[in-house]
Amino acid sequence: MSMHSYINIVTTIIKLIGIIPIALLVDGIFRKLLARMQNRVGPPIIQPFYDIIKLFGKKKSDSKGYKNILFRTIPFLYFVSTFSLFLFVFGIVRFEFDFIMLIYMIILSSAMYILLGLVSNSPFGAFGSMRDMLLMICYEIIMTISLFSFVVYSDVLSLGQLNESWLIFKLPIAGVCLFIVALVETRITPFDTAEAEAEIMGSIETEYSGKSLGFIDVSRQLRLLFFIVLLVKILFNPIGIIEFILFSALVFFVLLFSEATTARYRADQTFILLVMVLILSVIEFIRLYLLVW
Amino acid sequence: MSQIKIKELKVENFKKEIEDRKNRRLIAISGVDQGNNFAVYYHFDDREEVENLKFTLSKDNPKIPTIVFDFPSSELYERETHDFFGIEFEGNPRLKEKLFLPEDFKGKPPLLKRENEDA
Amino acid sequence: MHDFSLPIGPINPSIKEPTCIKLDLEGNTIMKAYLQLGYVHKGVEHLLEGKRIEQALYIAQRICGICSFCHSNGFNQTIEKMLDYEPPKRVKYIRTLVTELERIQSHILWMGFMFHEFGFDTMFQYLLRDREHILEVFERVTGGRVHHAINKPKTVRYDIDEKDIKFILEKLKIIEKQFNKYLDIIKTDKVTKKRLINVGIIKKQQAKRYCLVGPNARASNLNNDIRKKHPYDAYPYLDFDCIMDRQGDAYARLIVRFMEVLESIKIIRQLLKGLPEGEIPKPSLVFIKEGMATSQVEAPRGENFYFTIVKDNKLERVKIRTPTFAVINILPILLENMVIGDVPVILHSIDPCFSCMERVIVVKDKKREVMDEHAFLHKYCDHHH
Repeated sequence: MSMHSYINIVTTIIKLIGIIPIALLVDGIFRKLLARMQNRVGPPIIQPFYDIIKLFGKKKSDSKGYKNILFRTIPFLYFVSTFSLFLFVFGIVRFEFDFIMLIYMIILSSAMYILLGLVSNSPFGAFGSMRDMLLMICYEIIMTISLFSFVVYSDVLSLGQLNESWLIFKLPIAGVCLFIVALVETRITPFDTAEAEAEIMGSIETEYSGKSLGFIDVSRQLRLLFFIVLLVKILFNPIGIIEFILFSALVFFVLLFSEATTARYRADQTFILLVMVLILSVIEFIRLYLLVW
Repeated sequence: MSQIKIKELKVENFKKEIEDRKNRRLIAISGVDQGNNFAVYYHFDDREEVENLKFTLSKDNPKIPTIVFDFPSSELYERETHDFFGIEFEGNPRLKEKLFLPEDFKGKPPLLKRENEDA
Repeated sequence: MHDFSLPIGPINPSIKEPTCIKLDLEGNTIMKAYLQLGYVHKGVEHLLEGKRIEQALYIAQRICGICSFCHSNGFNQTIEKMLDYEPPKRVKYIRTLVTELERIQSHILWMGFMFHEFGFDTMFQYLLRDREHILEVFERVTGGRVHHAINKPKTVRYDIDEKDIKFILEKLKIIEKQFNKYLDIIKTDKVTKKRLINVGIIKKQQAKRYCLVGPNARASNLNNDIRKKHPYDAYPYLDFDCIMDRQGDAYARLIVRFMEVLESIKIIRQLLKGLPEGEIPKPSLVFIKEGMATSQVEAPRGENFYFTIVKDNKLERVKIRTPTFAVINILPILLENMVIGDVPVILHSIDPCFSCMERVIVVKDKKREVMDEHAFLHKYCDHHH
């Protein structure tokens, strides 16, 4: 093998290893800034590292769900499916029509999260899964249609070939739809219905503890990082690493403001809102379709 | 030396007395163990002060009709008095469900007086 | 027929004290709700039997953490009614001051948790920071942040001076400024309005039938304010309004309690301006041969009712009817046909305080045992053996 492919392999491995610490750091900064906005001191920035170390050091819990093999393995599968999302955005994997694979992987990751609630042998978990399933019907379609809108507009066959910058100004409505989907997927108010702990006690994650909860937590932080990176790549498509960090910071701050200054909608109110966003995204897609072809 | 207005009434006139006060506000129902017998006080809100109706019941047959259909809030008061004293409110559909005591509580009603009192 | 039963409690992050509300659900809608109380039953009424008056005052203060002074005040009033004694005006003013400060702090705590129930954590953190100012005032005036052991029969223990008055007025100014900002948020924030308007409506007729008390009744246009109907302490000398609202939903209850905080600030300013001169009497022992009295106090949650019987200077019976006990019965009716997302909002909007409400048996009390030790161990500790 040539020198070029060796360097490729090494950079790929470095990228893959570096994702988790970066995701944890991003989450730590998010929590710290949120606390400062709420007039509190907040945890130190490396708190997520402490949390992960603590969770992975715990013994197995006594939950009845342990008889079920799915209960023991699905958290790890969830982690794997979320982690593999990064293969598409950092250009590690690239082929024609890879955005369809990306959509499939995003839906798979969300479906794993819902499965977590269903196999946990508790009414709270089942209930939380029911609610999330209801919402998933809506927001995954919105995401698919918005991503398709971008791809159709730029007339490319692979996400890695997107070369137009500032797509957010050319397709504002699709950009907003994608942004709202990102809010739902990363469970940031006003759309964090699935995590409504005041209502159903932590819903899907109620029965998990120890290593399983560790995997679930890391996956949540990976999702936050993934959606920030996805939004930046599609809406802004920056060149060079400095622009990339700047735009990521911008998206990060918008998500942070949304978390700090809004309250949570009820499940049915969220559903109605998402249906309206769905109609909007469909209209935009049809418009683009007629425009391009 | 009490500044309290108490109307001592007989259980036979119970229905009529409650009918007269149908539009008043019921504040509370208290049970008192007076040693030889029970007393049940109904506290109603009057314009200037509180009106207290006192009904005396014997200890072997402490029965008094319920007012839960005119005053829905009295359901909890009656259940509490029943749990703690053993006084029966006839006609209350949920009287036998324990309110504050544990469900499998088997013993004498807790607020009855005992023979050996210690301070 | 319902799909499944979901218990809210006894351990649940959304309810502040242990209680159990079993819901029969069908999909997302509640068919029926069942209250199961008794998780914080403490044995207060039994504890109070046979105690001397000073001992009983000590216990009565500790019935509840948020509304501690209204219990001590209510009990004290029965004792003073039995003695036919009217305390000097300055004592009355100091008691009213502590009552109103407690009302402010209870309402702020309630509001903070109300916002937390539907995810508005930022307001929650800001409101609890404001409550700290009131707790500092309490520490300065009464010596304790949560329990204020300032009441004694016939008098109060501590007096306030010029510096204290200045301190209180400064803190009130801070809170008033913050609250004017919050008023904007409550009136314009879309999500707050969507979560609270038309949720858990109590009509005036229902409120009257269920004999509701406190801000819950006032939000349904029914005035049950003890401060106006049976004035006590310094209330006859003060000028204030009862805040009422017509809608009867959770939003109305939020507005009523919010405006009551501003009204309480107004009352405290009047009190401090018109504080009468004079010395407060020193605490002394009381001796009551025989007596029976009732008293009503306006606690933050409504009307707190005390009925005391004293024989030979010892308490024979104390009956306490807390405001939550009068209101909790309407909860199953409110929850019918509601969506489960509304449950924490409705439950919290009636402001329940279960610790005040439940007073149970004492399982082991010196020689008397209601459940003997063997049975207790057998039932609750067996799986350890």
